Amino acid sequence: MISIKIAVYGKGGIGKSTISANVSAAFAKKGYSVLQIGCDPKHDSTRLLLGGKIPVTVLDYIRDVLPADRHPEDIIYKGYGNVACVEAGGPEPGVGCAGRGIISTFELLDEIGIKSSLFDITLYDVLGDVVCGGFSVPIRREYADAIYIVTSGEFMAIYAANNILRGIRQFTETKNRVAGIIYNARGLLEEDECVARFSKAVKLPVIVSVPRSEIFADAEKDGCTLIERYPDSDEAGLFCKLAEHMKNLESETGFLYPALPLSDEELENTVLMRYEKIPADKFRLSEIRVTEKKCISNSVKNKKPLIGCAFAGAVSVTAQITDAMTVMHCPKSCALMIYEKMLDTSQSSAVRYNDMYSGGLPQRMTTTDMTDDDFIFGGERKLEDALEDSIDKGFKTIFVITACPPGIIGDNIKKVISSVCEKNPDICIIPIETDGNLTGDFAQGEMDAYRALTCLINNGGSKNERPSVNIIAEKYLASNADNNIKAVKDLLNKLDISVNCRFLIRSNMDSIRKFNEAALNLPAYSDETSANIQKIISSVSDVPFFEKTLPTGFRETKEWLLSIAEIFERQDVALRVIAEEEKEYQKRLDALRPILKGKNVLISTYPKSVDWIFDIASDLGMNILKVGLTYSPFSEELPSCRSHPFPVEKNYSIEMRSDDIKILNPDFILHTYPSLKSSDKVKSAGIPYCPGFGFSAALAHAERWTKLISYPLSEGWKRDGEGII
Amino acid sequence: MNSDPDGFIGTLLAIEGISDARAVMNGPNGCRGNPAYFSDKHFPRENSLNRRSFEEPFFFGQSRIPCTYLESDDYINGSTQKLQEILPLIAKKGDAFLAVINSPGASLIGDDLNRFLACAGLDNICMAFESCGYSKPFHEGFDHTIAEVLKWLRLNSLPKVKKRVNLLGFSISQKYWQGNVAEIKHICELLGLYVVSVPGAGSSVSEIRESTTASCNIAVFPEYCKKTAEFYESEFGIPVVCSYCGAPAGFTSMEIWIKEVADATGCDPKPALEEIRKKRTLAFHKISRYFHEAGYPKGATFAVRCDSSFALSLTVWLSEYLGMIPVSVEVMPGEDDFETTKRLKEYLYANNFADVFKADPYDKKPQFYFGEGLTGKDLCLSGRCKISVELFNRTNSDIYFKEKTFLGGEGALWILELIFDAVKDFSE
Repeated sequence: MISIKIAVYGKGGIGKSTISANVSAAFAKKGYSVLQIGCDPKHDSTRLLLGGKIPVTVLDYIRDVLPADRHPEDIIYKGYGNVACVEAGGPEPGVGCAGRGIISTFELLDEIGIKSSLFDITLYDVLGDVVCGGFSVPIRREYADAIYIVTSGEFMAIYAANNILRGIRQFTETKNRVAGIIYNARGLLEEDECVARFSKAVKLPVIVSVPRSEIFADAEKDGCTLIERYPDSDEAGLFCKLAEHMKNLESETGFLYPALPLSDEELENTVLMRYEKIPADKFRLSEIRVTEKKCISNSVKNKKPLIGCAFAGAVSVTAQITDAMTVMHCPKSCALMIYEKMLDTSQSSAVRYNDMYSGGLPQRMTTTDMTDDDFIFGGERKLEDALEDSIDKGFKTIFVITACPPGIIGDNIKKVISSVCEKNPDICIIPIETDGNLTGDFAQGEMDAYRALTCLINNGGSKNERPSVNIIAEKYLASNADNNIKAVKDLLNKLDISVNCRFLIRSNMDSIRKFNEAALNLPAYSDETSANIQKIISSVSDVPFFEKTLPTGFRETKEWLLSIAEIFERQDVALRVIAEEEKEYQKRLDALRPILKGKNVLISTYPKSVDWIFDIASDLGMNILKVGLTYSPFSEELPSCRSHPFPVEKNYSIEMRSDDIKILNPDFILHTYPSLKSSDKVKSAGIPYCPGFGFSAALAHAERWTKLISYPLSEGWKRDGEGII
Repeated sequence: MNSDPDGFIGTLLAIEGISDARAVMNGPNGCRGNPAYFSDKHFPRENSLNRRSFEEPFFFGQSRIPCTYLESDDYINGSTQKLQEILPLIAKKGDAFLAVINSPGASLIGDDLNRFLACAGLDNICMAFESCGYSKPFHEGFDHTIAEVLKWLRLNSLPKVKKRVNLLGFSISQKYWQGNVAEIKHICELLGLYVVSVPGAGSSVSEIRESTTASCNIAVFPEYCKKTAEFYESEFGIPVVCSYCGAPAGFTSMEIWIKEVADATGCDPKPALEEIRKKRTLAFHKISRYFHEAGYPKGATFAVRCDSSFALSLTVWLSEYLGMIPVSVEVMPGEDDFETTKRLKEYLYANNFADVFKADPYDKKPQFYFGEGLTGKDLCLSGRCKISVELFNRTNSDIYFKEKTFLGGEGALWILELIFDAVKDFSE
């Protein structure tokens, strides 16, 4: 028994299947056992061996039969000369991922025991137009020993052949794998010369030249190979010669060559004989209407490693809407990661701050649970089912957010939505095609979702009778978000201003639609994502933005309140409130000064607004020695309205911080992530993600500092970690 | 939506459950955050105060499951360049082996990971999982992975030693996994059995290599070890014993489990049964003194959602031992056809609880919910349940210092403590 594994690659329609089937037949006629595996979604590789019959493809089988019920006999068909025929098949054109299908086919064949070791000859007939990871599987060492490339003299066929050589080169660093070229002539002018030039340039022999002949068509009409129909023809003799060549690969007379693909330029010169390089004309964008530029996150803009994914970012926004369904078109794990975080935040908020539990997240989030099968065949049907199910549950507004797999396989989300909306004209379904992290990081997804949401805002409309405001881009993943906003609402209430819409945190559709009824937008934060969200909203809404973000600490709150009061003409109320608060503030400062006055502070933070720390430190007479800015994928600059007498150092590493602790000898260090090392001997406190709003927010933190500064330098448990790596 | 992890997470946690192995994710950063945090939280191995800086490539501030942080370009051009960078770096960290695991998106690129590992000369310390049960049941991913690890390790067929066993089916995803393992090891000791390894729940590679000296495998949670047990049986002739009553939760199941294991291994069950007898007596004294004036926990309603082997033993025990009433019993995805599920259904039908199987706990408003913590908390906070008992670890699950268990005599007492501590506040 011999064991030869051959892959035949070539451009679609070049005649690979005819050649493969005839070679298999030639081998079979000589008494060899042959397995032919068609790796082309067209699944017609073995048609001529099977008398024109269409077999069940492996991918249809994977789709329809449970793993426990799968048997090899169900997908191997007996062809001419007892050739074992298998067709990988593929998804419906336009859906799913055919390359992934090839991977799954080979996995299944291994699983159910269809192995090349059972046959003398295994022949893989592979589509070579797209040499992606999936269609390269047969080149992998454990499958094909040798590769033949089929080409005609047409430029596109040679282009594909060259591309296949590029693919082969990826897999053959140590061993030659190319057996040669099979020239399948089309009868074109100077075709022989063209192939000869290519063959010479890539240093590969032409193993056989198959002439154009009518008898191929005759045999095909009868659904059989030339070997079967015209066994004595010259053409049949060529396939016997080719089979002999393949068989010799196992002996010492066989010879394999390296893959030496040409560059595009070399190919043009060699095949087309076009030596003059004519640059392509550039299209002038001004000739067409240029659409508005999309807001892009910092990480995407600067090609930094993406933190989180756009899918999760978008889900975290849409799931805030209490009466809309978020359909996550993704595998289970993608959905679970953001779902867990959101549910946890909501529960922590209720437990830690005694906020009312909003609940409802499990009911308004759902997933299509895409599996490997959906990667191959496409997940559109599942998405449609999920949308129908959401509608049955009574949701009128539905968001569809996509993870990586549907993006990679190209599921047509808009087509599915349009089909569902046709049947349900009163339902609003909004796609946000984030495609996992293909479009960017978490922040990018947030922005994309905000953009999608703006289409829900009603145009125009009258302003509320009682002055009202929208609060923009709160940090909804902070469990203290609801608690923090109480102070803002309280201040607004004193000015007789109500909150129209929290855009977007635990809001309903009605408040989003009525967004434009507010007199003013109050941005919560000034970071880059928040600034981009402002831009997005400004492009669709006329509600003006207040120039200050929600305030933390006495100074900020005082200025914020006065400015708001000025807009709404409530200055007298504001002054009264400030006067009352100031007395209380001074009283509490006096209590803290004996402990904190004169203390030297080092600040280590990722770039975020810490003006409130500068303010309270100044009010307490503390000295800020330095601010070190640690790495953040989201921003690089320290957003601040203050001028600083202290140095600000960028790219501040953990090691630099440890050095500063030794050199500057601070009394206290305020820091964000990462936490201090056990060797950092200094008293410390964390800078919260969201420090809270209002007159006393900063004071509350300073009161905690006084306790931490009074406690021992290092807790006993930390010593137990010494020696642990 | 429920919070069930899938086979992909099962694959990651199976590797991370081997004490000196490390999962490396070939995928985006966003896919690894939760499992990395989970692994560090529930199976800590490094000094958290020596935490990595955020900008350190591949780790991004987390100690477990470094990743290739795939981005849009990598989906087009392939991930090998990043693997070329990451693997030699991580290989230096001294782990017994690494497992490269494709994220869902990475599985679509079609990179030949095994070829890459062979070319890079890393195939002796690194294995690859190209496709990982995305959206399939967690237990399938876990079991498949452990079986594949055993194959990849090319275990030697060592002489079998009597009274040596492996415990199969434990995972770091189970709440109190270390306590559970410790309790079953303790029972095994009383039976005169030595536990060689617990693959996927704390054992090292060297312990797993020694696992072929076992004369018997005990499938404690059979859902998680079907393929693993089959592999041991077919390759090394090690038989497996699996209890009729499911996992050994509650006194009765534990007693039956002890007898079955003793039968299979030729051990004397008496010392172990005697210990359970003592625990029963202790429980009797407490229960007889402290049961609620209204009779609770008898008549208290409960819902269960967990693996079928655990659901079976817990449901039967709570119903028969305490007289509690099941109002919703659910098993994990992919377990409908399991033997333990069939027995569970038979039990419910036989006791007039036919409508309880797969009933929605949100509708049934149980007083106790035994299952996944986030759902339990959601039920409690929305006023649909009084007490949630978390059976699975989560990234955000409760913190505990003192090791506890749900299994064996100790586990029965702990469950009783949770129940009695809660019912004292029940009003009539």
